[in-house]
Amino acid sequence: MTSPTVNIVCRNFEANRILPRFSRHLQIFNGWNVSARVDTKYNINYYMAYFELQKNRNYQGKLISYFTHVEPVKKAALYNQVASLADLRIAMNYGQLAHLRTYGPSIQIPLPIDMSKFTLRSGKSISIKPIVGVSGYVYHSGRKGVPLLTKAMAEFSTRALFRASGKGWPCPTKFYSWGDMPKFYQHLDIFLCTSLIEGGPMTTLEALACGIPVVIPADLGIHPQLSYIPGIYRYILGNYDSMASALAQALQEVSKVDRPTLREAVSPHCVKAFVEGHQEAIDFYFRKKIASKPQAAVLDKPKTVLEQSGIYIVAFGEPARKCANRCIRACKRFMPTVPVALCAVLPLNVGEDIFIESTDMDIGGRQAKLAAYNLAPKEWKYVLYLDADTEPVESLEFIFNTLAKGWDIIICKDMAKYSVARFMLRADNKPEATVTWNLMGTDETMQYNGGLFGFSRSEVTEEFFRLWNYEWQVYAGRDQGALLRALYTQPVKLFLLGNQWNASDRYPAPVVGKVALWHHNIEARRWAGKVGDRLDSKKAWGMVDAWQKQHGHASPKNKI
Amino acid sequence: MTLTKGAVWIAFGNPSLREAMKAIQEYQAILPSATVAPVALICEAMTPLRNVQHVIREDISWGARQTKVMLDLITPYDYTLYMDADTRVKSSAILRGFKMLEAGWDLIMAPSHRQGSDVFGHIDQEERMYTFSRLSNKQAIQFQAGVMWFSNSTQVASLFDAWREEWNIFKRYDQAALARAIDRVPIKIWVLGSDWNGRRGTIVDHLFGRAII
Repeated sequence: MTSPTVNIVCRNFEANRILPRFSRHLQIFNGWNVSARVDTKYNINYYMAYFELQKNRNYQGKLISYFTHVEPVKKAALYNQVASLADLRIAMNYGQLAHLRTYGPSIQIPLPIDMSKFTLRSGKSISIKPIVGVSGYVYHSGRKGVPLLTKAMAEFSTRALFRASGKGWPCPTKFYSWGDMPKFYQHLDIFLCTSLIEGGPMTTLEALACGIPVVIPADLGIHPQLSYIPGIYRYILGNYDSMASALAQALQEVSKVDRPTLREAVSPHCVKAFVEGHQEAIDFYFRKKIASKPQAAVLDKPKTVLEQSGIYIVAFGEPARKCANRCIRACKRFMPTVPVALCAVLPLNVGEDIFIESTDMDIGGRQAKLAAYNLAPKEWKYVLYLDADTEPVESLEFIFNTLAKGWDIIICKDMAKYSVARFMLRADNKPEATVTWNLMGTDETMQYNGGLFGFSRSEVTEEFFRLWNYEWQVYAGRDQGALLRALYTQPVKLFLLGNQWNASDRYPAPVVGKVALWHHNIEARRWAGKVGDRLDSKKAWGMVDAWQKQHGHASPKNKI
Repeated sequence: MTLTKGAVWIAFGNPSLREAMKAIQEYQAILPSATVAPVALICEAMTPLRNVQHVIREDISWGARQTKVMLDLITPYDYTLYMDADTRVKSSAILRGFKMLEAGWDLIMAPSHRQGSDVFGHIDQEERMYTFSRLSNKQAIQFQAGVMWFSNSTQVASLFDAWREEWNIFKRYDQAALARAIDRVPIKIWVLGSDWNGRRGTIVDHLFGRAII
């Protein structure tokens, strides 16, 4: 089976700017076509920037788009429009993924730094006044943060010289051709990034590749993904005092720079990783779908409900993988003909029919769970989601049959202890609980247990899942509040099940009737205690690390 | 287009009429004075109640259930809040149910307190067994139809059509028939907690059985 053909749409693809260079890498190494407009001869068109939509509004075929960064108001509207149209979204940095994933499959691919071009600065000597450099084209939008540089030039004039490449900067500025850019960095002692909005920026990575220490906004673009090592000085985005403090420290330590280590920090970002990452993404997301189209047309026998159904399970972290092992085996025991898809970092090979590779984005695996609509195979009209720590003890085919009767979503009411929304309040979620109650106008509304749910594919359920994902991104905690807000906003035909279909073995509440599925709550967790922050935050990952250092891959359920 | 919204009670027979009149008076008293909250009473003859639209008809069915399963056809409103005669509204939050209809939900109601082994426990054995045999979910949720909001959508009309068909099989209780109808007609139901319809509910206190004493 051959890969689908790709046409990269890049309006100035012959220029020596960043995105044209990206396009040419893919042209040279992957053999993809590059043109200024959409070309429908190709299986897929790839907008190298979301604004390419403006000249290609009639295109309705398979679409990928690259997302560098989002700017306010009009550009944000266009950004979101393309995000909603694309079949696959490729983000320049990790920070955009949370938003992009609310529209469907979205990935990040390393940036293509040409390491053979940007080589280490030679010589150790530092001039009396170290040279601090900035780079880029200053736009009217103000996103390059020029006022920060102006203030720094005033404060540090006796201690440093400021130089710039590009145009529009308040310090001595020289235009460097692309071929000469390494020379610019290699003459610097410190690289300073004053930007307020960036996708990379590539300049930070290029400076580091040359072994130049950098002073950068901590939460900008790719910066949160860089190593925390001496020579990478972070400051609060847009905050001059914080920047001045970081720059002062950089100046003080400028003679102690370990240049090879700084260069090593950039190593994940190379042309090879960029082009191979793209090819893998195309093969993973499109090869099967495009190849399967003619086969689908040949089939004329109507499919049964079960032939259009499947089970989607998410497992991140060792405790969850252990649980998923049990869950998948149980699914196969009681529903041998229903395919099971596992969404994880690596396959389990315990009977799953389909492996969906995904990044470990938050400690609870919530983003992969709420992406069920987009990640589960599209040929499944009826999808059953199961938490990894659930265990069917009989066939759940009833759920698929109920969906086939016209219900949009099927889900269980929560157990008595959490029966209504009033009981969602915990020590760490008052803001979210309040927003949820205010939206519905009551806290006395049924609460649902999202450990098991089924859905039928339709525009309504697609919108519901988009909302659920979006609402979860707001607080990134438990998913029940987000579920209620999404449901209330997008009414669906909701078939309600009793607790027998999601019976907890943790809460000994009476479950009347024969249990169809046990929920071994907590068993899939890889941390203990209340996070008190977003599940995708550093603090959350810190709790996972702390737990694993002390207890290895054990579940807290076994330790409590 | 402005959609009309109002509350509807059904009262046939003296105990039921007595309770419905109390219920309506308490409803009108609890709402803020400036609130426009139309009320209709479906009954056999005019009553002394003020600011109430009387819808006169006959019903000799057990517990006036025939009228209840025809509510979608009889109600004067686009958005209807139906309450049993033995309910007492305790909070102006009751009006919030109309907002839920405006949000796009077809039917809003709370589950019955009878669930699990007690599901449909108040219903004659024959109908109860018949209901279990008919439901696709053998461990069904029972809804309490004594307080419910519904819109005039086509989905609601389809549900009431099915409810009438199901009720006509035994011509007794409405709740098992409703469960069978819901099983046939997928519909957007927003589910509330028991404060909205339960004994000592803080929004609606349901004095179960008072209307047949």
